[in-house]
Amino acid sequence: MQTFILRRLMIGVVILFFLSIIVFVLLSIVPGDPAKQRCGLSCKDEQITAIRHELGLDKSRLPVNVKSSPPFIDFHRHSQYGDWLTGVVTGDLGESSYYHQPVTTAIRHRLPVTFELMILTMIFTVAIGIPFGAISALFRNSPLDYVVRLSSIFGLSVPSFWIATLVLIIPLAIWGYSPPLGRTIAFTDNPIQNLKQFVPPAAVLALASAAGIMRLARSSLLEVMRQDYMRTARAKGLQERVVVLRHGLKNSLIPVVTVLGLQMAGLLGGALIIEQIFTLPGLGQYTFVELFNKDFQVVQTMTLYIGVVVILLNLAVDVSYAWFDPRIRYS
Amino acid sequence: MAKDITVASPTSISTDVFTRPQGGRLGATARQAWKLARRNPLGFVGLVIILVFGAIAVFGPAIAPYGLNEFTAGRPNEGMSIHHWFGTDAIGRDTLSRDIYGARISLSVAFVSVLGGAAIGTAFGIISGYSGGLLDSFIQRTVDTLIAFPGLLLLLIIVQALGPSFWTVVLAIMLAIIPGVTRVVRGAALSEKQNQYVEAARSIGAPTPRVLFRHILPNVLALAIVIMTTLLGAAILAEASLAFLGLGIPEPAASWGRDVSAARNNYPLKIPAAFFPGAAITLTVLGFNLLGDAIRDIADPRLRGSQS
Repeated sequence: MQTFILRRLMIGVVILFFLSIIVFVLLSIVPGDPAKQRCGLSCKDEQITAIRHELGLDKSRLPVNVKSSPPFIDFHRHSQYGDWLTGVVTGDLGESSYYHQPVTTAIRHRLPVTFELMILTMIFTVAIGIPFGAISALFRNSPLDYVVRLSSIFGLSVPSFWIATLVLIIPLAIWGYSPPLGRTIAFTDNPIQNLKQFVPPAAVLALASAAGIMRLARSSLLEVMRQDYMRTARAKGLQERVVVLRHGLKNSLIPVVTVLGLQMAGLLGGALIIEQIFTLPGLGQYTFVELFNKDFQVVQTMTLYIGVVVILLNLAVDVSYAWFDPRIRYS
Repeated sequence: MAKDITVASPTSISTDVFTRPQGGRLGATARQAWKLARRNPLGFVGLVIILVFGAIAVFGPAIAPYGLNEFTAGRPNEGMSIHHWFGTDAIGRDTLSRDIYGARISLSVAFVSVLGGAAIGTAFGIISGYSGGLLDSFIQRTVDTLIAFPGLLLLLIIVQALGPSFWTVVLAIMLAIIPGVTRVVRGAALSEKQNQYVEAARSIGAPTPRVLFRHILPNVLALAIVIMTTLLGAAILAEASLAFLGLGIPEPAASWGRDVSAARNNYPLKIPAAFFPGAAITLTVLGFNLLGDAIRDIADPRLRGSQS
């Protein structure tokens, strides 16, 4: 088990290194000058030069000496990529030029928002997805099954930004109601106001994820019900309830957990569109705003952060398989 | 009783197997569609939805009551009426006409990007699975990286880097599609590689490209096509999301995603202006998802009925 985790972590580091290069190169192509963005319109050339120097933008982007032939990696000269990566590895994530605030502070303030949104969404997803998926499989081809299947495929087809828009504008147009927008209210300060803020976006996000889980739970349980050990369990006289819950459902959860893990990773990275629509100051909104403000270093760091979350959650999912299915052993 | 059955079954077999398709290709296609309709009604519904939207996209200018950018179509922010079924937008353009034109953008982006992405992904997948070794590891780690890359962020960065236009949106969605296809096709290619026909082809001296594209490709093609149908819906959603965030194909083109966003920021609020473009996205994606499920059921009988 330890060697398995260690090996996976090492591959994870390689992937993160690849990711850092890809995102850096991609963002290098984006037009726009962070220094100009920071300085504003009425800015003199020498001010821009000073800011460029302060941000390290006057250095070459990649640690590659292009003038030599063939071009080779030049570690002696400082480069923007080198500086950034050194900073990330040593825990210095830099400062957002738009918010005038260190990135670490921003993450600390925004992570709770994203985290609460993720938790609520996952609660809705699990509470709707697994039971309905299981019922649909147990009463296969019944009217209920058709309703579940149709609504799940519908949930997967609906664009979340559309539902979110409707959820906001329909109550506003009819009753003049809108959930408390803008500043977030902490759950500990005012639970009701807090839930008014977080439940609508979480419900919208859960629509798609619960639909996926429903489908998956259904097909997975159907697959398990065909297995020989289910027949054995019935043959030895176990109650149907025990057969379904302990033998059926538990074994059918492996693929479900995989997808739940991936969904969780996606949400922890920040639900970009939904946070934007509901003006929730989470990590997704932060990344989005910084991308539009040409604060590329922050976007790079956030991409790496999401990469770390995805890799760690994937690993956690793989490790949890061993609990669901004792036959799985990692070596 | 028993005699009845022995008489009845051979005749039913003979009609099934030996009757030639009549009415040429079109007749055969119609019969296949009918077969799909009976066996898989939901898949048939999906097919019908896609055909309807395809027709709307192709004949858009002929159907639309007003022009795409006809500012004089009506007064700004009109409600639903007999002249403007879905109302008008903030500058007096007819919402229904814009929704009809939007089908062109949505479907063309989806088809071009999925065809391109699936083709490139399949090529990489076959090469990766067949070659093995260092090349395989390199391709697979790159795929891992791109999968770890948050999807929408990748799209946003690419479109921002190259500037929003039809081809940059297509390119971005293509790049997002490639890793997943590569991963799945590689798995299939790995198992095909073990087959004797590959061994046979190699032993008579077929060069690697020939083995790859004449022998392995046809055998993983069915899988690639199944993946493609399921990706079409996702591609439409991706284009709409980009457009909603303001990084889609710029005006004067009509895009469903952008129209939802425009309706959101419009005052006075008009529900129809937000509702109809989104409903069009939902229906189109639903059509592709239903058809994709049906095609997967048909292509992979082991999964038949187990997936919804």
